[in-house]
Amino acid sequence: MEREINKEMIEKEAKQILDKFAKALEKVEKEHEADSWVEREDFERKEKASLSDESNENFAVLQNSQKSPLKIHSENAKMMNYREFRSPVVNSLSAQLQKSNCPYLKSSNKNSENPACSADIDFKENMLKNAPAHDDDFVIAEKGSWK
Amino acid sequence: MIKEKLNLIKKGKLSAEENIKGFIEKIRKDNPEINAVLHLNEKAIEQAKEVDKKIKQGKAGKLAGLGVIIKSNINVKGVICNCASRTLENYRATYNATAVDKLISEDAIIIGMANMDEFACGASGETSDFGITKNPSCLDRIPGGSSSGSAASVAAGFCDFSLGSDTGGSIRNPASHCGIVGFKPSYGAVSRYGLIDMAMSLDQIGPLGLNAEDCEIVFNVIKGKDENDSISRDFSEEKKKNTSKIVIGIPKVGARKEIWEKVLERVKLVSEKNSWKHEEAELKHIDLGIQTYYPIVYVEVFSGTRKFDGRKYGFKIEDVCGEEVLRRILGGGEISKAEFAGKYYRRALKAKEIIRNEFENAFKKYDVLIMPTVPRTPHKFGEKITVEDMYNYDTLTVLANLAEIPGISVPCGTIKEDDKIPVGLQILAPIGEDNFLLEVAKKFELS
Repeated sequence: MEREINKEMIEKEAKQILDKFAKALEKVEKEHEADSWVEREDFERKEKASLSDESNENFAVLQNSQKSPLKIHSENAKMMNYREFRSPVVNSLSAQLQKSNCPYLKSSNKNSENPACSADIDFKENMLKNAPAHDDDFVIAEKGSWK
Repeated sequence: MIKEKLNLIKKGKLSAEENIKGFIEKIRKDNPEINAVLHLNEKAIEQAKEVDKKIKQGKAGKLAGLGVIIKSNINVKGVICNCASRTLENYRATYNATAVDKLISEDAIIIGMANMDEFACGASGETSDFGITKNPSCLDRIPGGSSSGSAASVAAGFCDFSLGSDTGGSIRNPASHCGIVGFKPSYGAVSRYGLIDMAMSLDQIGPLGLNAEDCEIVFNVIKGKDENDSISRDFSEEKKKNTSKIVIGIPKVGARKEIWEKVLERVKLVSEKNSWKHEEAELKHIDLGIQTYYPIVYVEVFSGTRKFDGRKYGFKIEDVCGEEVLRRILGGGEISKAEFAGKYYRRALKAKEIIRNEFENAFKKYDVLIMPTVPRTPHKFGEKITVEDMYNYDTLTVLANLAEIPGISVPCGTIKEDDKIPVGLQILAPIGEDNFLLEVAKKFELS
C-alpha cells in the first residue's frame, strides 16, 4: 500500500536539516575537545566485530579483506592492557556483588526458578484479534513476498 | 479541582457513574468538532459502577471515580492503541502500561484514548492520521503536540486529567497552547513500560491537568521504580526542599516579546509575594537544544520503528506513515550509516552532555529556572510553516529532556493580539526534585 509521498525529496530534506544541525554542533564539539568522553575504539566500531576462539585468546575483527572476512588482529599494547586488567576487575566486581544484599545472589550459586507469573487469560485472544491472519493458535506472519 | 471532585464523590454527592457519564456525554457532543478523543473505552460505565460499589464499602482508592483520557501511545488493555497512525490502525493493546495499572489500582476510570501527532512525531497536533485536533481555547489554531488530544481533552472538559508523553516538550507545549498545566517528570521518575516509544533515551510519561495540584496528585500515584523499566527510579527519598527561600534564574532565550512580558510579569509578582529572589541566569549552549535533540530523535525513531514491519500486525510503517514520521525514519537511517560515525549522533550526544552539565552548574546557584514554554503563539490551521519553524516550537522544551530534569508549563496569561490565545511559563528544577517543582508551580497559579 503506497502513499503518494515523495520519499526522495523527504530524504534529501532530512539530510539537509541534519547537516545544518551537525554544523552548528561542530563549534561546541571543538570548544570542548579537551573534555573526556567515553569513546569506543575504532576496532569496536567495525561492523560484525566478534571475538575469536577463546582458546587462542585473540580478538578477531572484521577487516577489509576480500579473501577472508575474519582476520586475527595482531597483539598490540592496548589489547595486552585489556587482558591484563580484565581478571582483577571482574573478580573485584564479583566479590562486591557477593557482599551485596541482593537475595538472589546470597541464596546460592545455582540458578533457581522464579515463582511462576499468573497467566493473562485475555492475552491470546487480543493477540489473535490483532493479527492480520491466524490459523487456530498460530499467527500467520508472512503476508506476502519480501519487499 | 481534582481534590474538590474527590470530596464530592467521597461524600456521595456525585457518583463515579454520574461523573463518567457526564464526560462521555460531553465527548459525544463536542468531540466531533475538537477531535481530541479517538476511541472510548466501551467498559468505562461498567467500571464506574464497580468503583461506586467500592466507595460504598469504603474500599476505594485515591483517585476513585475520576475520569482519565490516555494518549494513544500508552497501552490500555483491550482498547485500541494506534499512536494515531494507520500503521497500527486497529491494534488493541494486550496489556496495561505500568502508569495505567497504577491509575486503575487507585480506581481511576479510563474514559478513552486521545488523539496525538502520529507516533508522537510533531508539535502541532496536525500529523495524526485520524484528523487534526483543534485547540478548545481558539478553534482555528493548533493545540500543540504531540499530546494534542490529551491537552485538548482537559481544556474541553472531557476528563478530570489526562496522561501524555513528553520526548521534547510533547506535554508542556500543548498544555501551554491550551491554557492548562502539563508536567514532564524527571527522566525515569515514571515507568515507561507500555509506552510505545518515540525516542527511548528521552521519552517520559506525565500528567496534564487543570492545575499543578491535579498534576501532583496524579504524579504521586504513577511515579516510582518499576521492575519492567530498568531506567525507572524512585526519587522520593532524596533530599526534600521547601519553598520558603527560592532563587529563580531566568536564562536569556529567544521568544516573542509579548510572551516574555507575560512571563516576567508573573515572575515579578510571585517573587514579591513570596520574598523570592530572581535574576538573569547565564547558560551557555542552550541555544543548541534543537540541533542536539533532532539527530538523537531521528536515529531513535529509525531504530524504534523497525518492529513495525507489517509482518505480525498492521502495515509496514514506511508504506503508510505521514511525512514527518517518514522524515525521521529516513533521516535516522542516514545517520546510522557507518560512514557518518561521529558526524551526527556522537556529536549530538556530546552536546547533550554539555547541555546537561550547564544545567547542573546552574542549579548550584538557582533553585529553579524559568522561561516561556513555547517561544511563539500557535499558528492557524492552513498556515504554511517550514519544517525547521515547526521544530522551533520545541526550542525551549527540549532542554529539560536533554538535561533529564523535570519541567512544568503553567498558564501565565493570554496574548490579546492573537485571539487571546493562552501562553505558558516553564519552570525547570534539578533532577529528582519533581515534588519541589510542583510546589513552586502551585505558587505561580495562586497570584
